[in-house]
Amino acid sequence: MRHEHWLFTIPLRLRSLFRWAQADQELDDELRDHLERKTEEYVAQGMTQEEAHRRARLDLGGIEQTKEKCRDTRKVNWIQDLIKDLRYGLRMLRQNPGFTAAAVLAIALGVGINVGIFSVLNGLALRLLPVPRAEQVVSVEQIFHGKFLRNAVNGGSLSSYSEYLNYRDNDHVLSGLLAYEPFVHATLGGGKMRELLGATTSCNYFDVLNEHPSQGRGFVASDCAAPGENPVAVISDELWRGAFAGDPSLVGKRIILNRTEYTVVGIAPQGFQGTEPIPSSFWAPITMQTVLEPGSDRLTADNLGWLALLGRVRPGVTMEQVRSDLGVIAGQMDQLHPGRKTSLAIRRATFLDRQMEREHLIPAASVILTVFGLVLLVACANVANLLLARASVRHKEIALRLSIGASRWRLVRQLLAESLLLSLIGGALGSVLAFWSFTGITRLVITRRSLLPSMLRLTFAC
Amino acid sequence: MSKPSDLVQGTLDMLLLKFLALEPMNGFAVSQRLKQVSGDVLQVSDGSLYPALHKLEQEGWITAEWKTSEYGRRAKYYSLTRLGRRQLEKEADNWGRLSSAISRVIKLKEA
Repeated sequence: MRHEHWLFTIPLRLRSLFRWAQADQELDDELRDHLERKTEEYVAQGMTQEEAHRRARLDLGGIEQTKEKCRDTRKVNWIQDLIKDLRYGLRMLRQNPGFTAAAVLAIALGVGINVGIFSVLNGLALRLLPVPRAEQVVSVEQIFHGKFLRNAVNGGSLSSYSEYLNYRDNDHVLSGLLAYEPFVHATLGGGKMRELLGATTSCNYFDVLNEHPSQGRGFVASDCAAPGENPVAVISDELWRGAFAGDPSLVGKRIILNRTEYTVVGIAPQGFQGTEPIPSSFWAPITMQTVLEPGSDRLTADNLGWLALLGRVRPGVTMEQVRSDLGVIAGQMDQLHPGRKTSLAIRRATFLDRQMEREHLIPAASVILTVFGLVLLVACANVANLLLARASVRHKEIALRLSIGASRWRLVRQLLAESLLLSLIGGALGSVLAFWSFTGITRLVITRRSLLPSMLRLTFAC
Repeated sequence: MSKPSDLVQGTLDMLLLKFLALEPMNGFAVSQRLKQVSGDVLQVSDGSLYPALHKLEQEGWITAEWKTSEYGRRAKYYSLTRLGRRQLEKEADNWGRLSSAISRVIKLKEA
C-alpha cells in the first residue's frame, strides 16, 4: 500500500520540483479555461460579456489567491519557496549593504572570538590527552604544605627523580608511571641550526602513553641505565619532515643536540607532540639530562622538583584507590623530611595539568569567556534591533504581499529565510575568525612560552 | 482557505472522488455537477474546488491529463487512480457508518 502510494506520488513531487514552470503554466491554463467556460455559461444565461466575466472571476475568489492555494497543495512546494525566499533574501541583503555588513560583522565577531577562546581552553584544559585510551592516563602532582624549603624548575608541584622512582617502584595501582622534564631547550647542530624544544623522559615514556614510534623504536630500559651514557633520541614527525626532509634512512643516523651527537632511534607517530601545550620536537632519555643541560645535575638533586609524572591506571582501579595508594608512598617520603607535608593532586591528564597553571588559566579563561559571551549577546541584541528597525520600514511591503495573496505563514517564512541567511553568513565568517583567533591565541601562548615557565618558576613552595 | 460552510469537513474530498469515479472530467464539469446533483445545497465555491482537486492529485488519488474536449478545446481531465478508488471505498464506508449512527440517534423517540 505504502509502496504503491509512492509510485503515484514521487513522479508528481519530482515534476513540481524540477518542472515547476510547466506545472505553473498548466495551472494557469486550467483556471483560465474554467473562467472562459463559466463566462460563457453566464452569457448564455443572459448576462453581458463584461458582467459574466466579472461574476466568473468573483466565483473563483482572487485568481492569484486560488493559484497560491493550489500551489500550496504540492508537497515539495516548500523547497521551491525556500529557494525563492533565500534568493529574495539575498537580494534584500545586497540592497542594504550597510545593514548587512553591520549585522554580519556583529554575529561573526561574537561567534569567532568565543569559539576561538573556547577552543583553546577546551584543547588545553578540558579535553583529555590525544593518546590511546586517554581516560586511563592520570597526572600526578605533589602539593607541599608546611614550612619546607623546596627547589623547583617549571613549577613547584613537580617531582624529583628519586621521588619518581619511589612512586614508580612502590605503587600497586598503575600499569606504568612515566616522568619527563618539559621545555628542554636544545640547538640542533650539523648545518641545520635550529632552536628546538623537547623533553627528557623516563624510558617507559612511549610505552606508558601507548604511542609507538612510526619508525624505529621508543626507549628501552637500558637507555636509562646510567647517567650520560646513552645518547639516543626520538624525534617528532614534524621535525623529521621539516629539518630532515623526511629522510627515510634517518633512523640509526646521528644528529647533534647541544653539541653532543645522538643516535636517532625512532620517529614519533605523526601528530604526537608530547603532552605539553607547547609541542616537543625531540625526546631523550632522562639520564641524558646532565649532557643536554650541562652545568646542572638534576638527577641527584633529591629536593628539586623538575619532573612531571603521568601514570596509566590499571583497568578496574578507581581514582580513589590511586589517590590512597600513591598517598601512602608520599606519606612515607614525608617522614624522611622533617616539616614536609605532601598532598597529591591526581587528575585525568590534559595538556594543562599543573595546579599552578590551571589555577591561573581557568578562572582567567572563564572570565574572558563570560565577557565575550556577553559580547555575543549584545551582538545578537544589536542584530535583533536592526531587524526590528527594518521591519517597521517594511510595513508597506508586507501589507502589499498580504493583499496579493501571500499567507501570513508564508510571509513569516520569508522573513525567517532572511534571518537564516544573515546568521549563516555571520556564522561562516565567524568560523574563519574563530580559526584566526585560535591560531592567534595559540601563537601568543607559544611565543610567550619563555614567560610561562618563569612566571611559574618558584623557589619556595609554602 | 474559505471552507464551504455547510459541508462536513473532509466530505468534499469524498464527493470529488465519487464524481470522478463515475467518469473522468475537468474542473468546470465537476463544479457544475456538484451544483446539479446537490441542488445548490452543497455550495462549493470555485475558489475551494481547485485547491481541493490539486490536493487529491498530490495524494495520488486522482491523476490529471490534458485532453482535447468535444469542442476542440484543451482541458485538464481528472480521473480516479487505483489508490483513489480504495480511498473512496474507505471514506464511503466511514461516511455510511457515521451517518447511520447519527440518524439512529436523531430518530430516538422521546419517552
